Amino acid sequence: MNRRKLVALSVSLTLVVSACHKKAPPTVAPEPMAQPPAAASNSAGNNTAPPPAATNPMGANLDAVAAGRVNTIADRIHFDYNLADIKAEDRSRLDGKAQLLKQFTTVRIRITGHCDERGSDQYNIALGMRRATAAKDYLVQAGIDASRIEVASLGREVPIDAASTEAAWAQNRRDEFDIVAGSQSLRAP
Amino acid sequence: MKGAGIAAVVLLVAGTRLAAQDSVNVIRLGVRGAPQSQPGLAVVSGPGLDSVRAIVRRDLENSNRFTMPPHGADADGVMRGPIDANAFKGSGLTWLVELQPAINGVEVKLYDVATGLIRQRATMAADIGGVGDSRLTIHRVSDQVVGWIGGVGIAATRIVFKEREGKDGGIWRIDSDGANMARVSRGGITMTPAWSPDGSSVAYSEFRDGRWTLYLQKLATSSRVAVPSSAPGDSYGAAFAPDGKTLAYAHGLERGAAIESVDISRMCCAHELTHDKRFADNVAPTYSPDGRRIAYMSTRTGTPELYVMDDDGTGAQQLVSSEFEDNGRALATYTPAWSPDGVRVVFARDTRSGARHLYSVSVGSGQVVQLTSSGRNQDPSWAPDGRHVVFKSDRGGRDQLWILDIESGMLRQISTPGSVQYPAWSRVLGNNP
Repeated sequence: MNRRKLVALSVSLTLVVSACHKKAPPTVAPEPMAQPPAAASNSAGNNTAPPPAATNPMGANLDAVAAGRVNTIADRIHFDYNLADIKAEDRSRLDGKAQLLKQFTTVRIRITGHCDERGSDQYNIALGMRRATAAKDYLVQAGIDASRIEVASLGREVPIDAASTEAAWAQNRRDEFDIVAGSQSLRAP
Repeated sequence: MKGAGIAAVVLLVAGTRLAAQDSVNVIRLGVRGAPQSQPGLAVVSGPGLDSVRAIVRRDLENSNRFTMPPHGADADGVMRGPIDANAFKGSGLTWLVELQPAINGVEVKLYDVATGLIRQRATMAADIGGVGDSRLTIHRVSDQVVGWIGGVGIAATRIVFKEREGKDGGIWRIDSDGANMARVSRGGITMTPAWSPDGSSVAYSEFRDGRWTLYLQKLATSSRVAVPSSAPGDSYGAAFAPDGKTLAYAHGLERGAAIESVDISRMCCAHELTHDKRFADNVAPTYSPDGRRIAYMSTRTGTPELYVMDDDGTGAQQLVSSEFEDNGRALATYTPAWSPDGVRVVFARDTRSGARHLYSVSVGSGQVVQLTSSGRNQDPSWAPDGRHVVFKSDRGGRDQLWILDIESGMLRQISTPGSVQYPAWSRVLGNNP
């Protein structure tokens, strides 16, 4: 985890990439290291805190634009119990990611599949991999080079909500999208 | 322990057994036919052995082989002066265990109460403080007693498991009696620990840089090595072959998960044993005690079901015949664990009502017996005595370790602060744990 955070920091001084699975959807914050997990907003894309270089209006604008792009890429998708099929309502989310990945060709991502606690714990690793691969296949179908997309699975091991409720399970059955390279390029005008 | 107190012992002995059964809500399904009565056994000691006596008493109770007098009964405690086994005649006891201090240890005597004669005796090295890892020396005293009476003692064993702390979770170990919990892994996101057959090492998987990597860790030094796989991918759910030289594990790639095996004596030659098409997932291998076969879970027909194959991957066939939901879908079946005597495999299966229970299948006949009746239960692992199974269950509200004696139907909980996953029971641990 820490290592992944460092990777994210090294590619961008001002953007917070959701490199940690424990966090809510990624947001822009002035100081990445100072952002506690609990402070992360649930409303992806709406929490655009002022950038540190506020003296440069143009720079601030670019930061906001880049943050919007990061949020589009990092926006989670969700799954039905025991299934790895892309839901209809998530297609537009994946289309948005594909569009950005086409535009910014140095960006590389990792898709990590997650499950709720109800399946068999070991089998959930395989199921999470299927969920990650389903999203990857969608993006590849949309024209993205497969070599730019890593996949991983955390099964049920890292839930967003550890409660044993339908709402928690629905949140936990998800794919997370992390930018592992090229996030700097998202600051282009 | 004079004559006046003996009748009371008899009544209380009967009472404690019934109470223990009531408190656990277990259904006695009699895999082998539950015994109708257990021989009575009491543990008494000389002064200064309070800790030792308490540990041995609990171990023998946990063996589920004996009916024991209640705490504080005349035949249960620290005695002053010489112990006269003849005073216990007619008490309903079959066995009396006497513990006395000895140099660097304990003198153990086993009396046949009917004759008043010493049946067995030994002086055993033991750390009578009864704290920390040296508790194992006292557990060996308990196992010696069970061995004298003709059984396999499992007191000198430990269980490894994943303990969830918030959203993280490390690998921990705990003594068979639920004491002495200690950390094994250093942190990070981990899963599926397994004991090496010699008890010296634990294999487990840790998520690093986007992959589940299999590690082999020496318990004495905490040093560990990454186990190579055939290709970059997720390696998890490892099982040791009985000779300790081979690990089988699930190896996950984008096209699905295969069972692989790797030679850990040379750290080489990892290769796939299952060869399925895209998106069949094969996980959770368990070796037969002769090492020649592997049972595992596969989704090759669509639903998780159990199969068995030869250890080279040939001859795969379904192990448990399917049960179906009303809509025709097979009920998912998970996490097989092959018994030490090779006769049966315990596994978890979803039920039509949405529960998940442990079952036992006879490898020879295919006959299936249900073992649990409440909560969601999975991840069974056998004790070396071939009659106790540890598993994860949420019957108490959160996922905890539970131990079922399949012969008596008795059940006990091992409590930990967090919630647990992936219990795995060690063999009987040797002198250098």
